Amino acid sequence: MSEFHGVPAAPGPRPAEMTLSMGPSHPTTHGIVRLKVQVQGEEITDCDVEIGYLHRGFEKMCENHPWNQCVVYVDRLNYVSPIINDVGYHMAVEKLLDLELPARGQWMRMLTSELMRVCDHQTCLAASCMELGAFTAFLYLIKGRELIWEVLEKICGARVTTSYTRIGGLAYEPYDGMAEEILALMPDLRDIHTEIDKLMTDNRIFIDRTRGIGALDRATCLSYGFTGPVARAAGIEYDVRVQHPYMFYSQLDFDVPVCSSGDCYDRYLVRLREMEQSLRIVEQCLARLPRSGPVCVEDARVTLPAKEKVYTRIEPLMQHFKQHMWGHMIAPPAGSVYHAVEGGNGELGFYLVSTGGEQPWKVRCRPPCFGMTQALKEMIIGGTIADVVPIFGSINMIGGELDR
Amino acid sequence: MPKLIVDGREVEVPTGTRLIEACKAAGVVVPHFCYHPGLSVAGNCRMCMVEIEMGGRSRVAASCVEPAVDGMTVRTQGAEVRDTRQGVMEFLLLNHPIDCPSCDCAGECKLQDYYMDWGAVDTGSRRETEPVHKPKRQEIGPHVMLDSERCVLCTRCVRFTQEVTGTHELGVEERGSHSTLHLAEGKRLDNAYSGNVVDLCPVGALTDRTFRFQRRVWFLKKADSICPGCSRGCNTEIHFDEKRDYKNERSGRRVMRIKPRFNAQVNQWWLCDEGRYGFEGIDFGRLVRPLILRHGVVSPTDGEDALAEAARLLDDMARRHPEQLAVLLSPDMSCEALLAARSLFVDQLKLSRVDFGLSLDPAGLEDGLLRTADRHPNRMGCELLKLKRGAFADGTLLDEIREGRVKGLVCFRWDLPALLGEQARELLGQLRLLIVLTPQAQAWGDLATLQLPVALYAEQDGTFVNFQGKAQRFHAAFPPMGEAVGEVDLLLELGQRMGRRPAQSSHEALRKRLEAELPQTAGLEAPRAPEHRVSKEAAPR
Repeated sequence: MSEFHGVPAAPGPRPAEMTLSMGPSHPTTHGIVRLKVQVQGEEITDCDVEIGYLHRGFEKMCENHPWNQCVVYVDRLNYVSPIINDVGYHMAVEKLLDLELPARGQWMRMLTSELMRVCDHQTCLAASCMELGAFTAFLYLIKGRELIWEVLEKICGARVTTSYTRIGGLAYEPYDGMAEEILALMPDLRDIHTEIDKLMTDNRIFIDRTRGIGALDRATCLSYGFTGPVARAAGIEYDVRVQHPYMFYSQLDFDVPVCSSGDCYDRYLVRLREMEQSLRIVEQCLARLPRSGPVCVEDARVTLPAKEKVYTRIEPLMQHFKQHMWGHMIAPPAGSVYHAVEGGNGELGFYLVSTGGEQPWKVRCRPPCFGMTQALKEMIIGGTIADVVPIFGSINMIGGELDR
Repeated sequence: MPKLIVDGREVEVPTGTRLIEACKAAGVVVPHFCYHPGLSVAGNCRMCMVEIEMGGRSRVAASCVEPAVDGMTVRTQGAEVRDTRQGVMEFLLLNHPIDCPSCDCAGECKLQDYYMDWGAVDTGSRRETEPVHKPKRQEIGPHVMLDSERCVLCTRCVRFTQEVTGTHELGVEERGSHSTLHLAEGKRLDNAYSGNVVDLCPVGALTDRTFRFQRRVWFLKKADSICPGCSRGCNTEIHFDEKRDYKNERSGRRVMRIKPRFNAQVNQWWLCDEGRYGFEGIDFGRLVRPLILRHGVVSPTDGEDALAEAARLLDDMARRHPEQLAVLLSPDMSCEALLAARSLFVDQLKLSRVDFGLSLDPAGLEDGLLRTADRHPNRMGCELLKLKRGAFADGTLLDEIREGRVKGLVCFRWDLPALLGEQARELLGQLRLLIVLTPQAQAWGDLATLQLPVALYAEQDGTFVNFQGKAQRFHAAFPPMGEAVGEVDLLLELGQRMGRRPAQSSHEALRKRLEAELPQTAGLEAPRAPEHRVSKEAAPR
C-alpha cells in the first residue's frame, strides 16, 4: 500500500480488496448517483460512477410540448436554482424569436437569478458542511435560504418550481414593496454568511477534511469541461457573465472570486465569496430596477394580456385563445441557437433547434455539473472513503441537471 | 386577359375575375368574411379592402367587388390597408360577445385569426355604451343553432338559402347596430342542406347542434374520405379524436363530425345533411367480434377460429356443390374489395351465383342538388367490374332458396332484415350455410352460421366510382374497431386458407390490377393520411 497522507504504509499483509456501493441512496452523498468503489481497507483503488437515476426524459418531454410549456421541465433541471434555468431557456427561445425584453423585465431576471445563485451556494455549502459533521452550518445556511425563498415565493408563487419566466417576459410583475423587503434581508443574509465564514474558514477540522482533497490540475479540469465555482477554484478565470455578458451584467460592478489549488477547500471558499458578490449584484439591480413599466415585451404573439382585460373584453380574450390553441401558437422560425447563462454550477447552456413548429425539435441542456461528475472518479481514486464525502459535496452534483 | 401586379408579383387572369381571386392566383389570401366563391358577391363586410393603384392614382377598395383590370397594381399589405382592416375589425368586435370559452368556433374562427394577423389592436376601451344584445342560443333547425350576438352579418347563410337551396329561411331584420340574423316568419331551417350554413359561417353564430360542446376543434384529426350515402360520392373530411374517450364518458366514439371537401365536379363546397350527420353507425351498433353458431347456440369466437371455420365450410361447399352456393356482394364495397371478391369467388371458386344485389329502398330520392336516388356509393364500380346485378332485386334468389336450389349464402354488408323483409327470415333459416360479413350487428344473427366483423369505409383505404364514372379514393381515418377486418384482408386470408392462390395476393397487386382494368382509377392523387393535430410542424431538412 502506498504512503498515505504522509504516513508510511504499515508493515504486514495487505488488506483484501472489496467492492462497495456508495449510493444511489447514501446518507452522506446528497443527490442520486452510485459510486461503485473498490477499496483496500480505507483506500479507494478504483471506482465506477454510475449516473442516470434521475433521468426523466427532459429532452423528449420538451419535444412533445409547446415552447411555453417547456418551462415547467426546465425548472426541474437544477432544482436548487430554478430561476436560472428558466432564464437560460427563455433567453435562448427569445434569441430564436429575436425578442428583447424591456429593461424592467431584464433587471428582474437578473435580480432573481442572483438570489437563486445565493440559494444554490447556500444549499451546497450547507449540505457539504453537514456531511462533514458541521450541522450548525447547515442550519444557519438553510435559515438564510428560507429568508430568500420567502421573498421569491412572493415574487413568483413558488419556492422551488418557480416557472417564473415566459417567452418575452415574466409570469408576474414584481409586487409592491419587493425592493424594500429584499434590501431588508441583506444584513441578515450577510450576518449568516459571516457566521459561516467564522465557523468554517479557519476551522481546523474542516481544513483537515478539505485541504488538498479532490484537486485536479488546471489542464485536466479544462479537458473535462469544468466551469463555474469548481473551475474558478482551480484557477480558471471563466464566468459567462463576464466572458459572454448577457442582459445588463456588463454594466454592473462585481468581482469573480478565483482560487488556485482547486481542492475542496478552495471550492468552498469560492462559493462563500460568490454569495457576497451575488448580494452586491442584487443591490445594484434593485437600485436600477425601474419602478414601473412592462416586464414583458409588447408583442401580442407572445405576451398574455392582463386577466382583468381577458375576462371583460373580446379582443384580449381572442388574443389569449390564439396563444393557447394547438395550431395557433407561437412557432419560432426554423433554425438553431445556443445560449448560455452562468448557472450555480457553471455554464448552463441551452441548444435549441426549431423546425418552425409549435413544439421544439430539440431542447438540449448543457449541464454544468456533468464534467465534474465525470471527473469524480479521478478525484477520489487514491483517497479514502471518508474523502469521498467532501469531494462529492464540493462538486455540487444536482441530479436534475446531471441526468435531466 | 388582364395582367396585374399583386404585392410585387405579376399575374394574368381571365377577364372579369374579381381582384380577390386574382390575389389568390398570385398566392395571396386576402382576409374576408362575406365573400364566398360559391355564392353571389355581397361586399358588406369590407374586410377584403386592398390598395389599388392605377394610372398614378391610388384608392382602397373591396377586392371581392373590383374586377381585375389590366395594368393595376394591388397592395394587400402596407399601412393604409392595415389601418383599414383594423377599422373594420373594430366595428365587427364592438358588440361581439365575450363567448370564446363556450363557443364551438374557437380555433377556426375568422375573427380570432384576423385579429392576430392584422395587428391585434385592442380598441375595446373606445366603446362608450353598453354593447347591443341579441337573442342567443336559438334552435333554428334540427341541426343548427343560431347565436345572433356572434353574427357579423356577412349574409353568407342568407345567400345560401336564397341561391343554393332556394328555401329562403334566413334573413336580416332591423338596421344599423340592431341588425339581427333571424328566421323568416313561420319557417325553420330544416332543408336537406341546412348543415352547410355552419361551414359558411365565419364565426360561431351558426353552429352544429350535433357537434355542440363535443370536442374542441384543435383536438381533431382529419382524414380525407368519400361519403357512402349515395352514388354522388361527395368528398368529405372525417374529423375524429381517438385519444380522449374519457371526454365521451368512454362511449367509444371516435368520429366527431364530417365536413365537406371542395370538389368542383362532384359536390363543389356542399354536403347534404344525411351525409353530414349520418356517422353514428361508424362507432355504434358495430359487430366487433366474430360470432359462430355451434350446436344451436350463437357465441363469440376469435378471428383464427372464425376464419378457419369459414374457409372450411366454404371450401367444402365450393368443391361439392358449387351450384348451391350464392354470394351476395354489395355496392357499398370498395372497388378493391369487389375485385378481391370477384377474384376469389368467380375466378378461383368458379361460382356462378355471384352478384351485387340492389337495394329496393324506395327512400332514395334525386333532389337536383347533390343527392341521387341510388343510395350506394359504388354501384358503378360493381358494373364496371362486370359483376352481375339484381338476384335479390327481382326475387330470383329468394325463389331459389325456397326451392332448395341454393343452400349456402355468403352475404357482404347487406342488412338482411331491412333488405328482404320479415317474411324472408324463415327462408334464410332453411339455408345450410349462411355467412354474413358485416360492420353492423345484425338482427337475424341467430340464423347465421358465421358473422364476421368487417371494417367500415372510415377504417379502410379504397376507391368508389360515382354515378358520373368518376373514381375517387378515400383513406382510413383509424384502424378497424375491435376485431373487424378490412374486406380485402379478409378475402385474401380466406383464399389462402382455402388453398386457392389468386392472381393478386396483396394490396399492391390488387391495386395494379384495378388500375389496369379500370383506367379511371389510375393516376388519382393518393388521399392524405390523417392530419396530425399540431399542424405547424415540419420535418427537419
